[in-house]
Amino acid sequence: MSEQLIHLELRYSSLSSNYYKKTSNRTSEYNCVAYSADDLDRPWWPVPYQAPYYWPIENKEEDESLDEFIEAFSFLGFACCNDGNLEKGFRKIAIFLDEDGMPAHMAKQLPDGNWSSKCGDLEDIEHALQSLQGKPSAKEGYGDIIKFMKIAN
Amino acid sequence: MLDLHRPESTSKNWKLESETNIEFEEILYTYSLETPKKHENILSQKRNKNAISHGHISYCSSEIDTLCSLMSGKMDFPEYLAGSFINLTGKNEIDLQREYQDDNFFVSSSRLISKVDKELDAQAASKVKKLHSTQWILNQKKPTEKKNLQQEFNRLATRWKSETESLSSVKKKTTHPDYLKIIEMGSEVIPIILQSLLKEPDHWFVALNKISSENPISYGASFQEAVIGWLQWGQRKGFFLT
Repeated sequence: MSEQLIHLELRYSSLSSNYYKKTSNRTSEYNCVAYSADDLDRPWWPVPYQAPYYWPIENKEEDESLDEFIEAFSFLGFACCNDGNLEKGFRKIAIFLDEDGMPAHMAKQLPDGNWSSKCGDLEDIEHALQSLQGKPSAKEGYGDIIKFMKIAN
Repeated sequence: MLDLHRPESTSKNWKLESETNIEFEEILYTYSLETPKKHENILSQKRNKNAISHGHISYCSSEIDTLCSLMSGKMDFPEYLAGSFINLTGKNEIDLQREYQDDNFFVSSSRLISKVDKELDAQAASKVKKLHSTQWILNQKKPTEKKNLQQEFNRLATRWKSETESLSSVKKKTTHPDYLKIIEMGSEVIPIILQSLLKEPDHWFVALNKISSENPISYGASFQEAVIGWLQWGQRKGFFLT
């Protein structure tokens, strides 16, 4: 049986009833957005703050909208798609939106169809998509609605 | 005789609740270093560690030791001491060889002297024109205030971390009310933040930038590089790190 992460389950109750497995220790060195882009050296977020915070495209207006995320990952070669189903020849990412429709979390798809996430400054986990899905205000998950993007392997 | 330009000066009486209950007058000056020659003079004067000071101008190490011991006995050695001096009016019975410490800081007299040398060298090398203002010096916290500052930081930082560590949004982390309160604590909290950054690297970069109005980290730097860069910045500014 894999290690139970009580502190995560208390924050995101969907975890307790769905599959997840710890895959790294906690660290602040990167966040879920960087992790989805395979960068483990710096946190990514669309804010014009100083390093180490990084964003791949220019963002002078502190735009944290879904469009900004889509534009940034499009710049990296991703394209929007309809679902998170495993698709041969492609790797997918998921953008979780909070109750205000703002990006709150990202996950990346694994070759077996499961997903992998960096939970803020906490651990990396392998999980089912619904394990982190749910209302943030109810401490269920990072967000109810998920947008997907994909890139060719 | 050093030719120092004195744009500002002030004095303040300190009464310390120590065993010896020493009173002394502290006179602090800021000055400009205008020519390389003056730099040499200052360094030469400072390195005369056996100098006995009767006048108003001295870089004698014993005075610096005494100032640190008396002002707090617990205070991080600040950069400004490299360019300030005091005129003792009370009895000086402090053991200059003593070591002093607090929660975050432990330094011997020899290390302190070494630090002073480095500070002066750094000032000369960087052609610093003016040190911190006297007002900044006088705004420094006394030991009890500093202890309270540490406790307040710990309280705010613990709650901030608990409430934001699972979030990915840098903006939500750095606009959390407790994070903003730490920023509002001002320059006095910088040594505490640096100490925290050293022990447990976290998202203190925005706070350090907001408080100091400086940004020593190049864009594209990694998290680890940013941590190291800010700690090196702290060392250059004279904040002790244990």
